[in-house]
Amino acid sequence: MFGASVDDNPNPMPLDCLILKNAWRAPGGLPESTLYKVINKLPAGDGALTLRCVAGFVEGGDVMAEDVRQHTHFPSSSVVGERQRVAIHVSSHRGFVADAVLNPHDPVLHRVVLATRGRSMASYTSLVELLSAGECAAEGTHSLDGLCRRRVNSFLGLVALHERGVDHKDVSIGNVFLGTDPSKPAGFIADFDLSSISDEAIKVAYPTEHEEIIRKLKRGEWRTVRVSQFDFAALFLIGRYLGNNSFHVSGVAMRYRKP
Amino acid sequence: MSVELLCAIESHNYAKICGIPRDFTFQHKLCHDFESLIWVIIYAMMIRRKSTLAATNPIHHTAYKEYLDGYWGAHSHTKLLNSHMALMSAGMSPRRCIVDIVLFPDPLEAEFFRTAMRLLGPQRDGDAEPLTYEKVQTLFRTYIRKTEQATRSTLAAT
Repeated sequence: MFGASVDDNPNPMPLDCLILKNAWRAPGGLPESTLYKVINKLPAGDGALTLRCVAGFVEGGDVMAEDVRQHTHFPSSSVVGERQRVAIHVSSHRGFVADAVLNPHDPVLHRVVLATRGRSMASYTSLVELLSAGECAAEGTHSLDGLCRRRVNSFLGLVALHERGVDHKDVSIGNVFLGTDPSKPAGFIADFDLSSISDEAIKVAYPTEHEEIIRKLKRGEWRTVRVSQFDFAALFLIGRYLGNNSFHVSGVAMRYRKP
Repeated sequence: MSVELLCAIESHNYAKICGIPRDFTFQHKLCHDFESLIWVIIYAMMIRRKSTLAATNPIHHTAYKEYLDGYWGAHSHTKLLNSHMALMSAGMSPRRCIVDIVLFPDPLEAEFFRTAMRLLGPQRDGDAEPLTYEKVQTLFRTYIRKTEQATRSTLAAT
């Protein structure tokens, strides 16, 4: 979490604290960042308020690196010495870049930036807070008045996600969080690495591209599309401490690293 | 993890060890996420209890940590399954035992634990209806209400 490092900055950014998740993902499956994008595009229900019981997604994608071709058997470039952008794999960290590119089972480095801060479920201050967070995570009800009396909406808890075609599948102490304010008991869920998503949900989220996405998913080719790199934490921090508020996280990601 | 999922993983692993190749065909459902959520709540309660003891009573903290490790410090699915079973048995036992004395000295937390384990018990036996949101919601709201009432009573008494 690099967001904690910028908390003391006198010039707060619109997104003043972010969570950076760094993980190896299995290739072929739906990347977590894409799942967040799909979730954000799913219909929220009939409530007027946008309440989140899912961690707020900012940016994410596979981490790309510029690599100099050392071999002649790369799939997309056979020119030795040519620079090419490739996703970082486990094998590439071990010096076997060529093998990594060719190995469809090699885990890919994936990053997600989230804007929702939370607390560990074990840090609850009262049983009401703990159970309210559980209820939020389960359905998506979000209590504003502190004691879960005021159900204002049903939005993207486990039930709401399930009804929209997304199953979390990995509910654990590390993936369910309390809200930051104990006086307003609430909770949210994060970490969709192992989640599944229905074809219908993809269709809703990507009405024009869903066929291609579903086809690539079924063929395990997902990693070849929609990748972006955003090793921008350093840029972000430098910008903050220089008082350069023109740096915007997703902007940095898109400006510097979109392939 | 839900007991049903742990059982499926255990069977799958056993078949693999025996050299009987078969696909892992377990169908993950919403009820399994609900069960996991209840386990998360129970685990959070126990972790918090341990943290409280660490600051207030080092001797009890050491003893509690052993219990915590015994129930949750699993390095295999089989051990985690057995630990879940043990917690369910403790929760469903009518006798006052380790649940009230050691694990959850807070009476409301102990009651919540017992009710939750009674809810999960039939899932373990495999002959119950799947855990529904209505059941989970009722469980949570019942104890939110009870805690609020207890808080009000305490405030009124003081």
